Amino acid sequence: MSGYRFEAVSKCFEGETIFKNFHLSGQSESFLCVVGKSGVGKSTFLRMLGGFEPVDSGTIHIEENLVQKPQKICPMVFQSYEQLFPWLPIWENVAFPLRVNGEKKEIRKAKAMQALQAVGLKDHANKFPHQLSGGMKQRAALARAWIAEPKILLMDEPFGGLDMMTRESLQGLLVDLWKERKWTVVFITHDLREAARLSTKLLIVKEEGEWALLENHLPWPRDPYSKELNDWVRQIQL
Amino acid sequence: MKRWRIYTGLILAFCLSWQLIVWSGRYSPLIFPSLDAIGRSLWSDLVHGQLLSQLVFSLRLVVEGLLLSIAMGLGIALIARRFVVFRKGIDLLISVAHPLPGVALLPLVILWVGIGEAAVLFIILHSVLWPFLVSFFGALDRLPIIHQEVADNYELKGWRRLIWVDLPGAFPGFLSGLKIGWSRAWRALISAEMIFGATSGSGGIGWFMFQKRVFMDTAGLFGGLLVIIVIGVAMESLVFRWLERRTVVRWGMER
Repeated sequence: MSGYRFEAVSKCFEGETIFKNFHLSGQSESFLCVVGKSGVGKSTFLRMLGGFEPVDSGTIHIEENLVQKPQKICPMVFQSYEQLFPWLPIWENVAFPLRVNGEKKEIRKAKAMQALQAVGLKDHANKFPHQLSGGMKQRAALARAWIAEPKILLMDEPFGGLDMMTRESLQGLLVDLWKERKWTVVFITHDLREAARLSTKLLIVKEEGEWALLENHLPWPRDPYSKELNDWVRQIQL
Repeated sequence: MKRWRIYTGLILAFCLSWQLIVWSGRYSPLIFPSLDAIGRSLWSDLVHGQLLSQLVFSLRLVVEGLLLSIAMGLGIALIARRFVVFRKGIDLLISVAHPLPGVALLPLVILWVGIGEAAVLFIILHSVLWPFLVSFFGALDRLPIIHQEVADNYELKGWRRLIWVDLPGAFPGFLSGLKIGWSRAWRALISAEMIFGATSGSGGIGWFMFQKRVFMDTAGLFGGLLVIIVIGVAMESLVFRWLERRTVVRWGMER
């Protein structure tokens, strides 16, 4: 079971209260989307869960382990396209977690090719990151996180800077992978339609430490342009 | 290809202008030797003289000095990354030593290590180490935070992190430090050789130049200059350009 738990977490950032006595439990295989206006602390929430940002008070647990620093069981897919190492070809970037684990090159390459196949980048395995488009880089970053066999996959507006078509295709890919691999995902976005399409739960972060949690029972598969999804989006108030 | 045509045209125009000045007879051949005199002198020094062995001697010294500087620079940079106080001390040392011309240190060098190869190496080390450190420190300080976070995320630590993430990330700075280091080392070597002379064996290219001046062999002097220029350009456009193409250009990390 790969759940996570925030217990009485408080966090201030540059004098602003972002979370105040915050409690949240995330179940295994859930897909939590975190939405909110800019600057309310969405990314801070994710960075605290990932161990990149310390809490001021309270605790965060993943399974039963206290989060104190970043861990490879919770890989993060960042918003920045620069998250891949420019000096490594794509397959080596994807296989990086395996290299850290001391896997042999043949095994690394075989697994990386498998992951690249799943994200549609197999033909680009030997290219370097600067030779790929933004969307392709994010796919590669997703493949890298996948290969790490995440307990919780953290995604910080990973499709934020992409064009609509690429974004929707990546959303579809992510949903497929999430269902197939049974990941637990925490996904930050400022796009409610994206959140509605992806999530099983929606965390709305508001100003001054206020927040709300919604269940998303929209049926699968979800069409981002369906009336049902749009009606659900319309009722949400940030 | 177009660039090479332009360069060739410019060189030919320069040679023609030179030769026109010579033919005008306004200047003595001792000041302005003809191109064919320079060519003949260079050929003779290469084939019958010691220019080739002197060149090998100089290149060996400069490579030794460069390698020593890089090894020291890498060592210092790595220790400085770990210990803040050491880094502060090195920063202070750089700000003091970097602007100091190598020639100003000559009296001290002679006192400390004499006038042999060690003295030349010392001058090269001084000329290369500080600019190399400035460039390399800068690159290490500017390592993208996101790459550090990815390394943190996958719990990469110690030497493996240094070799897999930090050093490749700082490679553009390392390379530019190396280029600056090479040009400064080459200049420092020739100056030092002119001063220290043939303290062992036949001396180097700097000593060759010095001898040519003493014996008023201006054609030979220009021949030596030509060799120095050709080596400088070859290093820049062949060795470093090749290295750049194989690394930072290939990785899209050009600055």
